[in-house]
Amino acid sequence: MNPREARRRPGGGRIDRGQQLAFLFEGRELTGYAGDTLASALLANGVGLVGRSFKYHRPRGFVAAGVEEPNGLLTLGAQGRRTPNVPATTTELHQGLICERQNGWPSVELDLMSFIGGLLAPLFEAGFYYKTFMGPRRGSWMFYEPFIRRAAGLGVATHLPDPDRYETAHAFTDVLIVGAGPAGLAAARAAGRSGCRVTLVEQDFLLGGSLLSAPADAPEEVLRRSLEVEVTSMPNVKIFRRTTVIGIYDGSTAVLVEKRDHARPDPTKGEAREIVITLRARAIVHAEGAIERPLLFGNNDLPGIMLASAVRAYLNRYALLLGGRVLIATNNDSAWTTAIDLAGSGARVTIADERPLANASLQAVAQRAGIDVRLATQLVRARGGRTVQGAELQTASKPKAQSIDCDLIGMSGGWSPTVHLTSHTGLRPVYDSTIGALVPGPWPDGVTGAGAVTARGNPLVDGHAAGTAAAGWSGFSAHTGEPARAEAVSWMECWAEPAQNRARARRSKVFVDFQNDVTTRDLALAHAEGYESLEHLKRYTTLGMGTDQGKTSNIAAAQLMAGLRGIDLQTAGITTYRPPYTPVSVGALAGRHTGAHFRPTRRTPMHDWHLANGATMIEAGPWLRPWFYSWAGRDAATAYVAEMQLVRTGVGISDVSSLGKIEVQGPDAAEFLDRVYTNNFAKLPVGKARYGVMLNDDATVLDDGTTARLSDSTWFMTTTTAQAGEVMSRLEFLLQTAWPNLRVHVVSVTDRWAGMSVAGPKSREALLLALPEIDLSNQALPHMGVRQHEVDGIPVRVARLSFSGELAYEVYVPADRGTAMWERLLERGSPLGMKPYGLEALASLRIEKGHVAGSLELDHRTTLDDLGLGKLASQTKAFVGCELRQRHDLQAPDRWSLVGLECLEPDAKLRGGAILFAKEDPIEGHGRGYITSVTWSTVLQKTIALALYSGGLRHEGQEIVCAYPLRNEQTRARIVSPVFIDPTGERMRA
Amino acid sequence: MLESRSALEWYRGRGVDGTESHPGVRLGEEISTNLLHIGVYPGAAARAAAGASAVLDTSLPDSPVRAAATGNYLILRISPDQYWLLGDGEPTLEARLRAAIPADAGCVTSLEGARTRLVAQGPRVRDLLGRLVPIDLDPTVFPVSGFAQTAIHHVAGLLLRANEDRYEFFAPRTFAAFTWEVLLDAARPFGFEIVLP
Repeated sequence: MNPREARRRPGGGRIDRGQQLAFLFEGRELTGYAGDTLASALLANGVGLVGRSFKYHRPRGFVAAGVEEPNGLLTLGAQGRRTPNVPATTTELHQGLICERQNGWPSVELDLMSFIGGLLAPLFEAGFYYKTFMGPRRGSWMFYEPFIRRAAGLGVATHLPDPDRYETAHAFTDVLIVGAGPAGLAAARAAGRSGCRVTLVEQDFLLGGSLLSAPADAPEEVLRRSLEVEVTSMPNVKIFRRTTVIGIYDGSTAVLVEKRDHARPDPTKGEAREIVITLRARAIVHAEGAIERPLLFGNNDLPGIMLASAVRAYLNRYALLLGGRVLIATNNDSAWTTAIDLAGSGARVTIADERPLANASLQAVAQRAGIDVRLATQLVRARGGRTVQGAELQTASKPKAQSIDCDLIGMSGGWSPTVHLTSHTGLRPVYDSTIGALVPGPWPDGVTGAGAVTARGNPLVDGHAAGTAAAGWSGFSAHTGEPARAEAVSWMECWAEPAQNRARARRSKVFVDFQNDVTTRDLALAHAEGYESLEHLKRYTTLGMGTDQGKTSNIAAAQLMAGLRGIDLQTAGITTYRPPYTPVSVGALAGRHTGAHFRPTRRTPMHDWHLANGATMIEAGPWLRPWFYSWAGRDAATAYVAEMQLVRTGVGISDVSSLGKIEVQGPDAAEFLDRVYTNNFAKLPVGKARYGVMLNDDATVLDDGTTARLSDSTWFMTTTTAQAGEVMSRLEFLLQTAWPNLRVHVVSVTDRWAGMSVAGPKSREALLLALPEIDLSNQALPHMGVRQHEVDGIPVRVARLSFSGELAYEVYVPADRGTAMWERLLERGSPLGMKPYGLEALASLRIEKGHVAGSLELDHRTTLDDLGLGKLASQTKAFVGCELRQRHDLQAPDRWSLVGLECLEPDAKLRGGAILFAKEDPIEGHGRGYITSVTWSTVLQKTIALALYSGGLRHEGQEIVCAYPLRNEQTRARIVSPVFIDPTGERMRA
Repeated sequence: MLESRSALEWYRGRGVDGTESHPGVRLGEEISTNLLHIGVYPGAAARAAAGASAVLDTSLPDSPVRAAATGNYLILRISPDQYWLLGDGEPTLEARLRAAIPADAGCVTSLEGARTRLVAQGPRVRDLLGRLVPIDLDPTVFPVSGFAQTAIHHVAGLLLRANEDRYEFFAPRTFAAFTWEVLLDAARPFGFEIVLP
């Protein structure tokens, strides 16, 4: 046997001695067995000191054997996999595991901070940080914080990328059972027998819950095995092990986190380390069990002092006898079993029970086992340094405390039902003074509970009933049988006397919250200073915060505060339990939202062509669009100018597939368009398109675009790229709610049609080369004309529309033919020098023309008049926003409205977002407006901009200052018309 | 000739083919089919249905969760007044339907090429989709010809159970490549094979 495994008993337990596992503890190789947790393996190797406390750097050991562990937090893994603050008690040991302890300098074994913590301890009382580090000046906290964080705290996370893979999943079930202890297993069996779909979730890697803490040869194990065999053999029962229900939400939706570290998942094979599962259930059975409470006595945090249930779990499940001379201090029956099991394993055991009377049969068994039983005896104080060495006991009938030696103390201050998850959906727990604990409030329909979480009854009988009821709620009422005879295991009284936790030690610290170093003295101080509400107490002392969220401390603290206030606990109130029940890694929350999958990307039908032909892409919302092409230059700054020049002097082609496209159809379509657009559409002839603006209800501009009439009742609407989804939703909303009787249908055809803009003075010539079958003459296809054709049997829509201000056409073909049409246009147009141009040039050309654009000038704050489009508001019909646009503020003459700007300094730049000031203004505050769009004008050979300026074009010709405080720049500019080129539109009508 | 190209063109022959001898899922694309949208105007359902029935030889279905199969067509009622018609690529179908449904009763819109029909099939297909869609895929709940409008990693689309172990996700074409990449990634733990036409 490994000499370090001296504490391990030669037989017993639920570990596999045939499967030894090596792991690395602070650089040392240690071994454990399959079936161990990291905590049990460390204890087996004699590691009793597992960390230093948060504030005082006191030595700490394991307190628990499960999820409630406040002290035994380790940092697992190395480099990118380094994960701090993981409870060793819930970490399944696996080959190659790497771990280290936390919060000690230079090490946990020799922690110099503990001396400082000891010397300064009197200062570190509740509220210490707030009182000490707030001065002398405002902002001082920012100075102190890094030092405080280094001195106090838990583990340190890594900044390296996490190489592991995390996934999300969805699951559905009829009955969700939370917890696979005796009640959960009984419920799963009953529900499973009914034939419904059952999901049983257990955070442990073994099923059985508290049954696993019984000796391996006890009747409990026979029962556990029989339940496990039947439940696991049912095909309709899905069992999640190593999985925690971290939250329960409306609609019986539970969120589960499944951990898979034990399988050493390989991300290169797509194996996930953790999976977050959203589970929707018809019915829920809560069987989370209960958590044992510590006792309050002096030095109750010494290593070697554990919950009695943990001592028993380590003994019977992990075959670890952690002490030879053991004191069991309790106020209830449950700890007696620990004492009896310890005595049977050869330990010398003393029981100190606070109650004057104890269960007679237990007493008889204890005495037969040679246990020193002391009733009406309270543990007052523990002795020791880095480990417990003895204790002082106070018996009611004796005036003087007695001292005993011991190397292990098992304590039990009663049990707290695990009411966290039952509370998540708003079911407030209630205080049951007869058992001194919170219990779940009355169950709503479809939810029930069984076992220790309900603090009553026999878990097998109640579990069976709960499983049957839950199946019934799901519509499965088949006979579920009766509990088997093997279930005649006795269930003992473990609910504490309410008057527990009378802490008496004067000279020693009595810890209420181990993880946050909160003592009874801190609670008294908080009370004295007025922080007596539980919520205030929590924030003032940090009690109940941290990774364990006060699982072992909340009830004791609430009882103490209620006592200090002289009221009962229900009146004092309790804190609200919120998800998550246990900490969740950021990786699990991120799931597959990493790297290229961070958010969806949208690609036009010609995407692959762009990439293959020198395009540099840019994100525009979800879209990936060509920014510029390599033929025009090596970077955007030079390329877009060349591309603009191409369009102004020759012909270019641009991918405009991202424009929103909506087919509007029906006998009432024209009427519908008249209502949503500010201008008239009803009389637009077939074969023509019209520019239109639609408003929000409050009369700010929602979007603009052109809509073409393809037939009497069929219209082809285009929207801006930015607002496409919003416009579609808006139209559907209006049709479904405001005007349900209109005979109109809208269908999004954005994905149906690939769009390409052919622009420039040579565009007609180029298009004729590519599509000779279409008559493109001014008569057949005038400005704003639209024609539908078939080319090679494929429908093609050609619209003579211009965003650039040049003669231009938009060509639409079915998306799957987009690349073929694009290639044909380019190939046939090449003799004319036709080349592609990107988004930067597209957006710059429209600035020269003074066209407004979505999300820049159309920002849901500007009105028609602000944008100089007031003439588009019909006087003869009603439209959305027509009344509210008359509001006084929207008609105010000093509103920020659209102007053009010309830069007056040849070597200076105008910048988007620059704040505008009149020449005589001081450069401070929000100014009189701001620049929305900027470009170099190839036509004017100067920098120009569109801007919103108070009073707008009333100031035309004035010189103003464009301030850009981020770069400390101020540039002079002149207010001009926003239409910089071709104000009469001769070019596009050519 | 303006040739048709799939949104997954780039991936053809570039994917990981047959990573395992017994892949859990096969991923691919279904092409060459009709996808028509039929909209019915208020108060005209009966007349629109009568017109459509004359072409389709069946009435328009009532079920919002299960497609009606008739001949070579599958009809999905995607909202109270809207239907999708999946066909086998017959070129005259759109024109015949448009002629049969009175213009004041309903309308027909071609969505050909607007959706990419991503196919996932195989023994682990429900495990794969369970990682992606918030839909109960239990065979007793989501039967063959069952469909649901859902989303894969934020991309809204329609999921159809085409047969026992075959599901099709109708992704908007412009999101198809992204969705395909998500599918490939999610399929890795199950082993997959790519079968692109």
